[in-house]
Order: sequence, then structure tokens, then C-alpha cells
Amino acid sequence: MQSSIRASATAMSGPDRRLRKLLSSPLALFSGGIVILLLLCAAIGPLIYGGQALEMSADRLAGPSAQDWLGTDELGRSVLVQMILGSRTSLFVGLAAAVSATVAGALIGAVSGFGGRGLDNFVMRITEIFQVMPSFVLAAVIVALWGPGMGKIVLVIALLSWPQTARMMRGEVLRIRSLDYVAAAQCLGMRPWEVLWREVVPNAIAPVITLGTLIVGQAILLEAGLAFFGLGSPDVASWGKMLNSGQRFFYQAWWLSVFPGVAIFVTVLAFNLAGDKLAEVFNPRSEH
Amino acid sequence: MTRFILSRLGYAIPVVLAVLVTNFLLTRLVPGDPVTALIGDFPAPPDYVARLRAEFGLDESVWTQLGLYLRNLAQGELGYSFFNRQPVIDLIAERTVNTLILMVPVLVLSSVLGVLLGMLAAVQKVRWIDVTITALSLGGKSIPIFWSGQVLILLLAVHFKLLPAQGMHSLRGVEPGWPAFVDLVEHWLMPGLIATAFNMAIVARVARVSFKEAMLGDYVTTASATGLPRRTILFGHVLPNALIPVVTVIGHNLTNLLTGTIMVEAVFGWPGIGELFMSSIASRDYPVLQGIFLAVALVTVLANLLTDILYAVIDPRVRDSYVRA
Amino acid sequence: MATPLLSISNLSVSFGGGAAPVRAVNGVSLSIAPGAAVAVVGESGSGKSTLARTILDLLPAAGRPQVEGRFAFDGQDCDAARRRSLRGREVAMVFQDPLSYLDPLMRVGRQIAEVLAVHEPAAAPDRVDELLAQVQLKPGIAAAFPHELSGGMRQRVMIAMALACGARLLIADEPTTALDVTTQAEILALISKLRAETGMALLLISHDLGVVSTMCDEVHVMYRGKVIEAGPVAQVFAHAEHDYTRSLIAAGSARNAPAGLAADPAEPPVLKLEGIRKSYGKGPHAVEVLRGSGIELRRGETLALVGESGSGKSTLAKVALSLVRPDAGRLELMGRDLLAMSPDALRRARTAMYPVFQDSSEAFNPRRPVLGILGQALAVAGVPQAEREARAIEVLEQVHLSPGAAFLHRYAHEMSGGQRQRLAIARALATGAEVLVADEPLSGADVSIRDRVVALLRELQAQRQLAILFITHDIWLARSFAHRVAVMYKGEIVEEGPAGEIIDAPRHPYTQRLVSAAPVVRETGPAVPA
Repeated sequence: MQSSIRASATAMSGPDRRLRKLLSSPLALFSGGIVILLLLCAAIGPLIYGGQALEMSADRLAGPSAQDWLGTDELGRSVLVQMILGSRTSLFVGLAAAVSATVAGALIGAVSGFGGRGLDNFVMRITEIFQVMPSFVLAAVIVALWGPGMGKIVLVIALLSWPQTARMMRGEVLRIRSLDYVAAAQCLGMRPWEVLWREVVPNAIAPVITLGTLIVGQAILLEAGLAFFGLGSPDVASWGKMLNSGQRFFYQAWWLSVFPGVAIFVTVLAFNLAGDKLAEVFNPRSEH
Repeated sequence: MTRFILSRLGYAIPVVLAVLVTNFLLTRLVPGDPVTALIGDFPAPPDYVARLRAEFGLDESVWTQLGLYLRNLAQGELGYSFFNRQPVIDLIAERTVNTLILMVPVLVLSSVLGVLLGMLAAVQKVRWIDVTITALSLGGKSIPIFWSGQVLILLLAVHFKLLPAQGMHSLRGVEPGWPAFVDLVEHWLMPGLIATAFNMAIVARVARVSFKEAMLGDYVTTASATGLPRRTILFGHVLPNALIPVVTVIGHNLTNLLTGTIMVEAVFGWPGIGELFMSSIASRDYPVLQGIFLAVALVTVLANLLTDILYAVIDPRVRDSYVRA
Repeated sequence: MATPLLSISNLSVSFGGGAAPVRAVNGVSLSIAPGAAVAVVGESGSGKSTLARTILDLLPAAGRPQVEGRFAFDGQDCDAARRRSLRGREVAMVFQDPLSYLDPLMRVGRQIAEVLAVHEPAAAPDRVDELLAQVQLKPGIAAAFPHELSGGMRQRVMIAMALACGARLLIADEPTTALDVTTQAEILALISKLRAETGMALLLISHDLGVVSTMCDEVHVMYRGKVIEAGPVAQVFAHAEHDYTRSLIAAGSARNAPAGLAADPAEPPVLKLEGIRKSYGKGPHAVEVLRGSGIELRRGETLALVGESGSGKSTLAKVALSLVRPDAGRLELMGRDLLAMSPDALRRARTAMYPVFQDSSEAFNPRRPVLGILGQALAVAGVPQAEREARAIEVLEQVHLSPGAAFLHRYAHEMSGGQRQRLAIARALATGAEVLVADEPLSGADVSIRDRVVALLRELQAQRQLAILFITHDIWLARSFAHRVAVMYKGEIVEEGPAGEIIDAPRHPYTQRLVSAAPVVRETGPAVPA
């Protein structure tokens, strides 16, 4: 009975249908739009506003106006310009951490799932230890002890995030390696690493990339949190740092605290939405 | 069941050890004198420094030091915080109680409400309710909690002057008994509700999906075919089956009992473990930090144990797999 | 004629709505007299399960079903709400897979008691035990969870739940399909016994005419949503008008069986397994799956390995394919010892043999189109890149997927079950393998597909002198396709010889049990009178 329902759904081929499903979802379009806008800000913003970043005006702590849409800070700098410059930090940290965590996690997870039982157990114990350690606590301690710096923050976040990717990749590899077509590939005389690389990994990668999207969101939140508590990189503009310095003028100048927070929220929401939609589209269960 | 709990505990010990060793090595990686790592940046009396040198064998190799550190831990010797002028163990005990006052209602509320919301989103047929709950839970996950706390303070405490902005008790004394309780609740409301909203968002998302899946279960068809009333099907069959994935999330929230509210505590000045952690980082109070690590590791292990037991209670298949293993 | 218990007239069900709804049931009428046994047979997708579920309004709302037609129960018209009120009270239902159809978290006794509480609130506390006794289960079973029971026991619990309703009509949707033949025979006997005791009518949904002919007086054959043939069982069997009905009849008995042996027993075997042992697990929990089994397969012959689930036949196939390394024993392919080889030598040697798996989308890499799948196989056979496309088309046409060029850029999941199964054979041919190991290649396939695939395998075997190791649980399929049969039981080959001898005159007690339990299409009607 369900097969007849499914039959009509499989009429269109996989990738086409998925793309169409994504494009027909307003939420997916929203999150895609936000991400593109951010990328533009991060890429072009500094070229336009780079010189204005430190430009101070006499209008200190001025509220939103026609001239300074989002107001100015205690040195008279435009909040909007700083936010555009700060987008680069958030995006860089988010993407760099997510990409490194995904690549490392996927490699480790694939080898763990495809290798022997002993190696697998060893890797899984390590990821478990990472998972029980509270990520914000560890990140805060490491950054506090090592001293701040963008590269270190990326490294720390990636270090804390790879285990989730590794566990997911391993689960997928374990599931796929038991499928008939992998046995069929072995019977063709393929080498084990060839089977892993050419038959298993390409089919395991979709949920891992979806998870990567969610890690971008987590990483941006984590970076902002560190910066908010004064553990950010001191020489780079970032949204979290704006919130941190806005705290001092919390009662006089609400715009210093509200707008960067909105920016963080919308960005993280966009990546979470994207991950959510991707998961829905790639989940085979959602097809019927 | 006893055997099951023992086997789970046996599994947990290596995890605690690993966490402790990692943290020990981490603090040893800091440039500078290990004495600093043991007493913090605060100037300490010289005879205490000498005693520490002997006690931890600071001239010995790192591994001997690690052994001594673990031995001292086992004896409940966590050191002294000069910054707070208190033995670390007392400090942590006091702050843990405060965090529990904040977090226990949060966990209960967020679990119950999260499950109910997820169920509502999955079960009823009005589409906009489902969409709204999904959007709220996704939004809840994306809000920087330190920021939303500030905005709330700005609105409710500063602008409307409805609730106290900071701390756990009013600074002006309050009579003990009922007035003190009301005072505590007033202070709890903002941090408590923010933390509840965040945890609830996570629970509701998982609950919604697992209820949807449980409703498609074949046993639901059987129950319908035998003429069971809808309520019996929903609460007798769908609910227990849908709870299994939810337990994982609630367990995860439980794991974050002490650390999940660092940001909330710091923003609202709630004198709990999280607030202690942030201030100890700022003051480089290593003995306290190491004490917090130990507390966190223990809570994590207990939370995992509790989750596993909960699993076994709900799902007989899990019970059997442990008996066999 | 008395008022029928249930009558359905001109029922149509379609799914999906919108511009192109899928019509699953198309103008079906049938009626069941009180106490009668009626069967609906058909392949998957024929609409028979949809029909059964519509009776109690159990179709999932997500599929957006639209139901047209009239129902009457006991002479009274039934709309959807009234049909829902029949649930459990007048009509009970038993499903195919009792593991997923029982709540995994609740003791089975409580699940039965729950049904009793609705329909018989005044029932005595020991009523559950009584019901368990009626389905021949011990009272202690009440405390068990579904996963602790065997498939047969679970199905008995389902039947006890149906009895707890005290219903006058039992709808059984493929009640024994997930079970082994010997368990199937027990469950069928139980249903017949209970019908004799309670006078309950039966609507049996099945794909197996053998089962139908032992249970029912009347049969409706469904094909693509329509009833194409209906009447008393004996009459339909004797005068089947549709090709589809005829192939159904043939599938339940041994027809068109090859005569004699295909190969000279003195000839050296191409595939030889000897004294194979394999255990899983360690210490006291170790399970010995293979206990010194062996087979020999010669050029041009088909050897069927039959046995029930858990007998070890699939593990033996995996050992033969070098996918599982045995603990002990010898494995020879083309006279060469595979177990003694280095990994590299094994990689080259193993390609003389190739598997054909049970049809599913999992048999092919979902990211490769047909050309990619066959190209890989042709590369193994040493076909240069430039010639692969032409050769792929050639191989596709050999398995009657023509024109081959039309399939090259399709994905396996876009093809029908029958086409996919032929693609699997094409892939095996493309490697140039001389030995095929087919593990339940046709289980789950509908009879119409089955016949065509068997014919194709025979044709290819004749052309290329293929040796085929054919693993199946279906005795009649083994009888009609294989030259020789080996019967496997608890990790050992208990009997082996020409198909005709083994199945027509089994000597080993287990084989005798297996053969007598396999439902055969009786052209005389049911063995147990209603």
C-alpha cells in the first residue's frame, strides 16, 4: 500500500527532487538569503568601510538616527559599520571551525567505522570523553590559559566539535558497510580502502555535511560567548566583543547591546534552519 | 538491576579519571611556576607554598605529580582558595546548592513542558500550531543566552522595574519564611525562565519528531484495530515509545546541570557554580577551577548513570541487552 | 441466500489527491457469509492490503486516502465512523509482522488485558491466561515482552488479542509471511481450529495460493487494484483464465522442473566448500552457525541450498563469496584454495564468482547510474574504457533490458523490482563470472517477476554453462529451478541429492517436516472444512 505512494514519489530522480524541495521552502530561501548577505558583508564590507572603522565622531553614544542608523558607541563610532566589520569574524570562526571539525571528524569516523574492532573502540572512548566535557567550560579555560587569538579560538572550537562528526560518520559507515552493494564491490576485487573511499564515503557524507551546518551555528555562538565574557581576540572586531563593551553602557545605550545580539541570533538561526532543512531533505524517511 | 548499575559505574570511572588527567595536564601546560597553578595568582603565605611543594612533589616528574594530585583528590583534599579565603571544597559545596536551586526547577519545567509542546505539535492536526512550535524551538536554540538575558534585564528590571536585576537575594534584608521565599522566586524568575526556555526548545524539538514517528508505529495500527480508545493509544502506547529519544536529550540537559547555566548565572549574578567559574577564570584561581572540573566530571557521570537507568526502566529491550552484555 | 456478514460493493480507494491520485483499489466488490472463509490473493501493490485496512478505516491519514463505495455489516450500511465502531467489537485484525505490530514496551499479557478491558470489562482476571491457553501458549508468556518471544509465539499473541475482542470476522493480512514454513503450518492450523470453535468468519489476505487453498472456500484474485478472477477455490484453480492466476498456481507447486542432473558427478567441482565451521561471539555466549558444512557445485548446474531462517544458509553463502572468513574448513574456487591466498591473490581470484542479492535498493550504490555499475564490473573483466558502453548495452539486452541504451543513465532506485533483479544478473554477467551465488534473489519478488527471472537464469545457464548456487527458503522454487538440492538445518547439510528425489521423497525427518509443512496448491479446496 505504501509502495504505491512511494512509487509516485520516486518518479523524479533524487538530486532534482531534493533541490526542488529546498527551493520551494520559504524557510530554506530565508536562511540561504541571510548566509549570502553575510558573505557579502564579510567580503565587501571591509573594502568599503575599512577606513571608517576607527573613525570617531563627536556624536558619542548617540541613539539610532537617520545619519547613524544603529547609533554610535562611546567613541562615536558607527554601530552599523562595526557590525558589518564584525560579520567577518563570526563567519570566519564559524566556517573555519566547522570545516576543520567536519574534515577531521569525517576522516576519523570513517577509519573508525571501517577499521577493526579495537581501533573503533579506542576512537569511540576518546569521543565519549570529549562529549562529557562541557564545551564552553573547556573553551573558556583553554583560551584563558593560552591567551586569546582567532586561530586559537578556531582550533579550540574545532577540537571540541569533531567528536560529534566522527560519531555520526562512523554510524553511517557502519550502516552502509553492511549493505549488499558494498559486498558486491568487495566481490569485484576492490581493495578495502577503495571500497571505503569510492563506495561508502560518498553515501555517508550528506548527514555529516548537514551536521557541519549546525556546527557553524554552534561555533558562532561559542565565539560570541567567549568574546562577551572578555575572552575574545582583543585586536579584531566581533559581535561578541561589541556586546562585551556595550555592557558598560548597558543602562544608557541599549542599542550597543541589542543590535549585535540580533545579528548573532539571526545568523545562528539561519545556519540552524539550513541544517534543519538539509536534514529533512536528505533523510530517507521523509520521502514517504 | 544492581548488577546493571554496578556495570555502568565501572564504565564511568575511567571517564572521570580521563577528565581529571586531562585537566591536570591542561593546567600544567600553562607557562609559569606550577605553584601558581596550585594557588592561583593571589599572593600566598610562604609557609603554605613550602608545604604545597612538599605535598605535590613539585620537584618530581609530571607523572609523580599527577599521582600525588589524584591521591590528594581521593582524600577530599582540594586545596585552598586565597582569592575567596575559603577551602575549595566548602566553596564548591555552597555554590552547588545555589546552582541546584536555580536548575532543578528549570530541568523539571523544561522536560515536562518540552514533552507536552512536542506532543502537541505532533499530535494535533492544525498546521500553524506545529509550525509555530517548530519555529519557537529552533529560535530558542539559536538565541545567544547571555544576550537575551541582558535584553530581559533591560526590559523587565530597568524599564518596567518589575523584577530584581541581579543576584539571588535582595541586599536589603528580608524576613525569613514566606517573604524570603517570595524574594527568592522573584530573583529566580528571569534567569530561571530563560534557562527553561532554552532547555525546553531542545526537548520540544526532539519530542516533536519522536512523537511523529511513534504515531506511525505499527503497534498503533494494532491498537486502533482492536478498538482501543484514542486516549489509551496516545498515553498508553505512543507516549512511552516516543519518550525513548527524549530521555537522551533530558539526560544531556542533566549532564549540563552545573555548566549549562554559566552564562545565565554570570549575566544575572546568580552566585552558583557558573558564576564562580567565570570569576575564577578572571582571577586565575586554579584551585577553584580544578575543583569545578572534578564536580563537573562527577555530575556528568551521575547524569549518565541516571539516563541509563531511565532507559532501562522504560525499554525492556535495553534491560536485556545489558544483562547479556 | 442469508444476509452476508460483510459486503463491500464497488469499492475504490485512491491516495494522494491533487491532480494525479494513485488509485490503489478500483471497483472491488466482495461479500463474506457468516462463518465463511474468503481469501484475497495478489502481489504487493495489488491493493489487497489497502482493501483490508479500509474495512476498519485504518488507512494512514498522511496518504490522504479517498474512499468510495458501499459497506454493509450484518445488512446495515456502514459509513467510516460506523466502520471504526466495528473495530475489535465485531471485526478483529491480525497483521504480517507481529514484532512491529506489538508494543515493544508493554508485556504481552497487559496488551491482551487492555483489549479485554475495552470489550469485556467484566472479564475475570484469569481470562488472559484462558486466551493464551486457547492459542496454545503457557500462562507465563503473559509476563514476556514481545522481543523475548519467537515469531510464531508473537503471532499467537496477536491472535489472542483478536480473540479477546470476541469478533465475528477475523481479517488476517499476510499472517504467516514473516514466518518459517513449519511455524506457518502451526499458525494456520491454529486459526482453523479457532474458527471451528468460535464460528468466526475469515478474510485472508495473502500472496500465496498454497496458504489460501488450505484455508479458504472462496478466492478473489486481485491485480492492479481490480479483482480479475473470483469464485470457489477449486473452480478458480481448475479454470484459471488469467495468466497471472496461472503463474500464481504454478508458484505453489513444482511445475516445469528440470529433469535429472546437469553435470557429471565425476567432473571436478568449480566451487567446493568442505567442513566449514563458523561461530559468532565468544565464551559461553558463542553461537555456532556453521558446523562442518560442505557443498560442491559443478559447471552448468544449479544447486539449491534450502533451509529455514537461522539454519546458516546465508552465512555459508557469505563464506563461499569470501565475505566471511570461516573458523575452519576448505574453500576452493576453480580448484584453487581461496583461504590460503594472500589478500592480493584473493582479490584477483574471487572475481570468477559473483553474487546476486535479494532485490532491494541496497543492492546497488545509489550514486551510480547503470552505466557506472556495469562499467565497474566490465573493468574487472578487463574490458577497456572505450568499449565499456557498447558492452554494457550488450549485457543489458542479454538480460532483456532493452533497448539497453535507454537504461544506461538511470539509477537503480528508478527501476522496477523486476528490472533491478535483471540488472543484478547483468552485473554478474559483466564481470565474466562463471559461478553465481544467489542469496534469496527472489524472496519478496512477486510471482510474475519470479517466473521471468527464473526463465532468464535458465537461459543464461544454458548459453554460458553457469554454475549457480541458489539459496532459498522456498521448497517449490528449489524444486522447479534446481538440479540438485542440499537441505540445511542448524548449521549442517542434512540431506543432499537430485531435486526430484529430495523433495518428492525426502528421507531425513527434517526434510520431511519441511516439505509437508510447505503449503501446496490443492486443487480440491480447503483441507479443513469451515
